[in-house]
Amino acid sequence: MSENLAKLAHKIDFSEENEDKKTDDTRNGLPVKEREENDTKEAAAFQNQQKPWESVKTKLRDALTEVSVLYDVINIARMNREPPYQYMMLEKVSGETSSPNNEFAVKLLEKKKSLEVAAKILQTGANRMKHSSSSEKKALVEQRNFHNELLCLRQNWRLKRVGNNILGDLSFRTSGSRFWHTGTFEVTKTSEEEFEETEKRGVPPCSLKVTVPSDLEGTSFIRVLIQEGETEIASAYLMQSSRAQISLDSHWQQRLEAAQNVLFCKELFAQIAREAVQLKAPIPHIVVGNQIISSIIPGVQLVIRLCHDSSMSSSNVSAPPEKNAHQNIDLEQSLHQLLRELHHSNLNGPTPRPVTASFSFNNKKRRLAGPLALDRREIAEIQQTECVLEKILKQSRHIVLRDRTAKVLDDMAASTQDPLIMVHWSVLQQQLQATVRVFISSPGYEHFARTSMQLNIGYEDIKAILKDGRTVHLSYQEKDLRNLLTCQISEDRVSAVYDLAKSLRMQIIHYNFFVGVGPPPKLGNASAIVFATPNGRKMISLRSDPVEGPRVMIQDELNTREKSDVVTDLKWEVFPSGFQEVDMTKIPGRNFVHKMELLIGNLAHE
Amino acid sequence: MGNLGQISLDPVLDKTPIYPQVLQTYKWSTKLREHAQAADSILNRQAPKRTYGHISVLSKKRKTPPSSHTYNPVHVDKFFDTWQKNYTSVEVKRVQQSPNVFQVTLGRTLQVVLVLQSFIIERVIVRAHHEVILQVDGTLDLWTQSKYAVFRKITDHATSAMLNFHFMTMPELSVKSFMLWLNSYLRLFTMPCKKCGRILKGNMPPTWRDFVTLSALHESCRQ
Amino acid sequence: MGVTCLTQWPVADGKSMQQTVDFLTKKAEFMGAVKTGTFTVDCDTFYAAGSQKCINVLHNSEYPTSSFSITDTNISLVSDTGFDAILQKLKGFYSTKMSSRIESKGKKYQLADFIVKVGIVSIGSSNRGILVEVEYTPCVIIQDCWVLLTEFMQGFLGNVFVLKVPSTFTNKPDNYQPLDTIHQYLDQFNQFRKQVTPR
Repeated sequence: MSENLAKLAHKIDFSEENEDKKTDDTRNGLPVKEREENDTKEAAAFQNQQKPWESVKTKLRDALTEVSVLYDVINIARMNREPPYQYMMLEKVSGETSSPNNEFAVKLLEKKKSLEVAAKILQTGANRMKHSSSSEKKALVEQRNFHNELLCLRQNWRLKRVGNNILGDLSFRTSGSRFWHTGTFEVTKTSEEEFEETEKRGVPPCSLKVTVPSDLEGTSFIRVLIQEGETEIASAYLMQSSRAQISLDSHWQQRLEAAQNVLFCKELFAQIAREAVQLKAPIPHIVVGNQIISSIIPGVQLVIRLCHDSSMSSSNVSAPPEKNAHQNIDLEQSLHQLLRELHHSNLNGPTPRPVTASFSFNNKKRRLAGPLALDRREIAEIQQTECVLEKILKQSRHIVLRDRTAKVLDDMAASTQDPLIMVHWSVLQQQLQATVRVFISSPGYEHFARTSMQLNIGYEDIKAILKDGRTVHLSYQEKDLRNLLTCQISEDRVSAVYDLAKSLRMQIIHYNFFVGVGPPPKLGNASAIVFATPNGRKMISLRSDPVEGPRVMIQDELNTREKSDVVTDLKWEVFPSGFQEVDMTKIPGRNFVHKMELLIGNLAHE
Repeated sequence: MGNLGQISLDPVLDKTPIYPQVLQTYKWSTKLREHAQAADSILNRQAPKRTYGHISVLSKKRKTPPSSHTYNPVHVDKFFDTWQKNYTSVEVKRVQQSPNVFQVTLGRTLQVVLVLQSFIIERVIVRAHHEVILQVDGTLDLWTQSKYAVFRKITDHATSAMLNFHFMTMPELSVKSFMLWLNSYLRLFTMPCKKCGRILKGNMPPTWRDFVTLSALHESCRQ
Repeated sequence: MGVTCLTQWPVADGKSMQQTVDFLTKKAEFMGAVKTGTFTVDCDTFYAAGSQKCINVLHNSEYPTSSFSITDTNISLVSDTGFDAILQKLKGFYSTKMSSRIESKGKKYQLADFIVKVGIVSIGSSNRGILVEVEYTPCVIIQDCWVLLTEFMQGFLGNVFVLKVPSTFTNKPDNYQPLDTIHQYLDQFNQFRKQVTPR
């Protein structure tokens, strides 16, 4: 039996059966040759007889794996879990045997459907827009304008978005200011009511609204006054020109600029107030509310006032402060410059070298102070800084001195006719220094006898340098300059007569600027000259007193001596008599020197 | 005599001597005019000039206007070049074009900053040789006085020299005389005073140079 | 920096150093000088280990940010005060003796363009002498103002005074430098060191 079974088992060709099955299922049209090869292979294996069931086992196992895979796949595909957990889905196998006509129709239908969907979306949107435009036309326009305006605003000011708000920055932080005020303003869209309101008022509408902090509203300017008692000597206004009126209706650019100006004035005033409190001056500066009062010269005050007009109503047209005749442009410009310098120094300093070193020795010269062996004075010069208030004080002092000098010179030039006073102001002037040249001469006799002097006006005092090398320091009092000029006039008279006498070949006997004889003059020194005619017979003496004026005396000759035979020399015949005063008012002549010339001519005539 | 000759025919001539009187007056006046003309021509030759400008009644055309304000920078440069050639210890350098600013260096003693306004000296500042004329930011420093008392004093003297050498009709001469005067400061520290013979007086060397003789004097020895 | 001359003022017998200094300062004040402060010039000597070479480091209060270093072969250096810290780090090579520190301290007076300094020289705690320094600030050329300085010194210190031009200066074409003052100080300090008897 077993032998039979074995034989029969050998005969059973499982692989052939399997192959048949498989070819039925999966392998269609497998070439006959392969089958035959497989047969021969399996026949060889079959004939091996070492492991007769091995091939069967492998084949069975393969079939098992395949069937189990199929089972799993179907199970998973049939699992009705919610997506995304659905791992597999059964898809229909596309039919290949559909007719071309049917294809076109299906495609057409599909396209039509998709187009319908798209059309529906567009139509709903268009409908919405149509509805909205018909009722809120302006809102749409406003929407567009708002963005345009925002663009313009961004070109001029720094804006940033914080949450849902748009905030802007008015302050000077980026250029170095360290003021406590943040200077932020808010940008919003104007609502419809406001829009209508502005239209009603006749103001061109704007879709952008700017909210400025309340303490920066309005306009402000700093007024610098130099007062003497109650009268104003000079004043300057620190403001920009277009500050006519700022109201809520003004354009946002103007309002922002005005607010920035207010901030600038505030900061400048705060800086000056701080310095005024810290500086020690002989007469202390007074800081009261929005005014700083300091005295430059005893009797003259400098008042710095911060004027803030915070009203925003459009009806109040506050006229800009009138331009005075005394307006001082220098002060205004220097106020701007000074604050700007302060900001600049706060922010930009030269980088320290090496980069890790401290910030204190920023100046290149200071760093090289060691190797260059700079002495203490030079180092102090490098590090010297003056605060804003000191600079302003110096400048205002100089302005006061200069104006006073100009006034005195004008007065004297107008009042004295006899020697003419000519004043030349130098072209080169600086904030703290000015130069004047004063010429005193007699008209018609400019070729000789011209007294000149140069005045250097600083901020502390005035220095007068005279032609003959003398230097006089004058204080801020007007009287000093007046006295000096009076003395110079009297000296000029004498020197003019000296030159005249020399040119007319008179003999000069005595010429002195500081005469020690005679009644003491009330002011300055008296100068005198004594000269004689060429033949020695007549003498003229001139004594010029600054206050009293000139006195001319003539010594005439007396011819009373009788002629005698003993003394025959001619010179003994004439004796000089005493001096007699000449009344200059009765002598004809244009001016004093002319009169003297006529007098001399008369006397010398013999 | 024209119409007046008719009076001579008047038979009443013996009683009223009008005609001979008139004749005499005429002769006298013509003689006076001749004499005056002669005197004028003689006196004009010797008259001291009292003022600038010419008062001539006859000439109607205007004289050329004073040309002291119209010097162009080329002239000024030429002048200083020739000056530098003649005096080798002086170095003149133009610092700024307008207004003309020159820096004159006198040996190693001092430097002078001259500000000219078309050949008229406007301002003078004298500083030590080693002081800088440029400010921190590179601009010219025309205003700060010297640190040293000596040079401040010399600046004052230079200003009075500038006033002294100011000739309106000959600006070139004024600049020339000023430069000559300035040149005498070359040996500021080594030249003793002419009057007292010492160098130091009142802790200052002789700072004054006489305008005419250019001799070195102390300021207090001057008078 | 003007031309400076430095001399030793001998102390008269019977007078203490302080009295002499007072005498000199009173004379200066009588001439019209104004006291403007005090000054200190000090010198530290660093000796190289092993050899006889030394570096003298001097400081002058007039030039507060500088240190002057001069070797015995007359090589000199002007530097920032950080140089001292560098030398401290080189303690192994350059060592200093505390007893070698010498300094001149005193008052400073200003008289027009002249600066007069009268200082007492001391090594450690013993006073060795008096040094008088006169500076004429406007001039930086030595040849020009030596006569001027002589005249001033004669007026200040008496007619007996004769000023010697230091040997380093005879052929100096350049302008006067602060380093030259320091050279003069170093010479004077060396002379003081050679003096054996302290006074």
